[in-house]
Amino acid sequence: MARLVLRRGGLALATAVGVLTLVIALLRAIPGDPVDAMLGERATAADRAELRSALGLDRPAWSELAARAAGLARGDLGRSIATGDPVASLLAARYPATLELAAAALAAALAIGVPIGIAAAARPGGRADRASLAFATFAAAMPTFALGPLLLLAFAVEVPWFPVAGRSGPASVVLPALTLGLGMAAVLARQLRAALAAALSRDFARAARARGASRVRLVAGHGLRNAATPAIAVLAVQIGGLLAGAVVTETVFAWPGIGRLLVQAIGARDYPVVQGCALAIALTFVGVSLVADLLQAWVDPRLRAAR
Amino acid sequence: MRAARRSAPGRRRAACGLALVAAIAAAAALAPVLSPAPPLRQDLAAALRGPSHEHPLGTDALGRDVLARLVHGARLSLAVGAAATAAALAMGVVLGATAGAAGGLLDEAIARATDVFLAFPGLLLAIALAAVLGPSARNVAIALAVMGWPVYARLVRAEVRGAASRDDARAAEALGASRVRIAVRHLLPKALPALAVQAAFGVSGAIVAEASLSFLGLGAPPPTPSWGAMLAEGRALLVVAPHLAVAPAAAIGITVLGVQLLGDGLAAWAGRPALR
Repeated sequence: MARLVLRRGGLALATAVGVLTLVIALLRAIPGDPVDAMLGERATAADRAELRSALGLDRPAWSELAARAAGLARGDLGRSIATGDPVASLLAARYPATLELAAAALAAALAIGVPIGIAAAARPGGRADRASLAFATFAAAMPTFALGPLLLLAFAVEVPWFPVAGRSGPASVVLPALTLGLGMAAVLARQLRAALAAALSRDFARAARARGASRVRLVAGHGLRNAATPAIAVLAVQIGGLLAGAVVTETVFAWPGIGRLLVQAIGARDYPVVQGCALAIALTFVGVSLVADLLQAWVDPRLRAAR
Repeated sequence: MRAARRSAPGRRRAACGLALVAAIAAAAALAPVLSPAPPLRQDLAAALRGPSHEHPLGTDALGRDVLARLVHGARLSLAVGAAATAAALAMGVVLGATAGAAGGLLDEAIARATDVFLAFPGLLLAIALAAVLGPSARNVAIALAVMGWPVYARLVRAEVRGAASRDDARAAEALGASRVRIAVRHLLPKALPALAVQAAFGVSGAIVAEASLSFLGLGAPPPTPSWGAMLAEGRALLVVAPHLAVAPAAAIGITVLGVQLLGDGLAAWAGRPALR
């Protein structure tokens, strides 16, 4: 397990360096001069030079990369062009909201997806199985930015149970979390159903049944533990989509998280903030994948030996 | 889980998908005929009206006909979805085949680059690229192609590597055929069914991503009719004019559903699941 942690941690670190490189390269890939794009034609030469140096465009890419990595280690991500605030404190102010949304969406996905997956696997080909397939097909076809306004229309405008926008108390997170979590619930339900049905048809399940294990014990004690590994793998991949989907969902619900900050910063051409947001989301994703992989190895001893 | 779908219900799903996709494609092709009014014509006196005989899906904030904008938006969605997928497919096939056929250091480099791209949330990359390149339909297609190629590259590389040791490839090699010729004539055709399945899901992914970018204001600039931009406008006016959000949301849902059902059908036909 220790070797696995080391190997997997090294891979995560390499990916993080790759992400940082990409974020720096993006600014240099802007067609034309980003300084012109941000300040307009009338800026003075001194202003230009100052901004150029603030963005790190006045030195070679490798030196910028080293400076950024050092800054990142100190928690320094530069300053916003628009407001002058440190990017790190802007991110710190918005990060909890995104985390709350992602956690609520994950909870919604688990609360919806797991029971549906278990019900479907209990009798493959049965009514619950067919209904779950229909649910998964429709839920997966509805992108967040289309589902969000429809949910708002139904449960905030027509039936005013929840607020239309913003982050104000527990009720305000329900619709964004459902919007973000439903697609994930669909994938999770199908994945769990497939893995659970496969596990329950194996010899060890038959042996347990022969020993007189109850249905609950069979599913909970034998089936789920074996079905958990692929389910966790799917969850890890989906969390990446969840973070990217949060950008859209936060915009739909005016949720004050990092995704909305990113979209606003793109609109304002506030590139240090754009870089900071992209970095924060990407590094979160790298961290989550790392945790998911280790969790998988912890649940399934076979993976520890295999790697 | 997919093996079960090879039976009759699988075929029924595929037929449903084909019908939905055909209907959307027909709406896009016949957009000028189906439009009650030109999609860009404004009539401020008739702004934000609900569905009526004259405007079957109502009008938007500038008094433009929603049905006209919806069917013209279908053109943009399908065109960007198809173009982005075709470009991603071309990039992925060339890189994957090169990696699989060449082996060695080049293979290793391409494979690792593929892993990094696959490990990263694609939509975030597309958002960053579209933000950098500037809002236009062409730039969206470019961003989506960059987001899409790694899946095809991985698939083709695996197929080519797996097939390289087969007898027909060996025989061609013995006859003195070049590596490129072996890859193109003998190895690639075996990957076609898998590529077709993947491309179907690629198109639906690209349509959703295009609409996401347009929704965020990173797609084709106004006044171009685009489903994502229409949804953004509908979201802003949700309380006043709910029909503005419902129409494009339904259009996107139906299109994605159709393409995915079709993809499921293709997967059953090819006898293999897609890497989603």
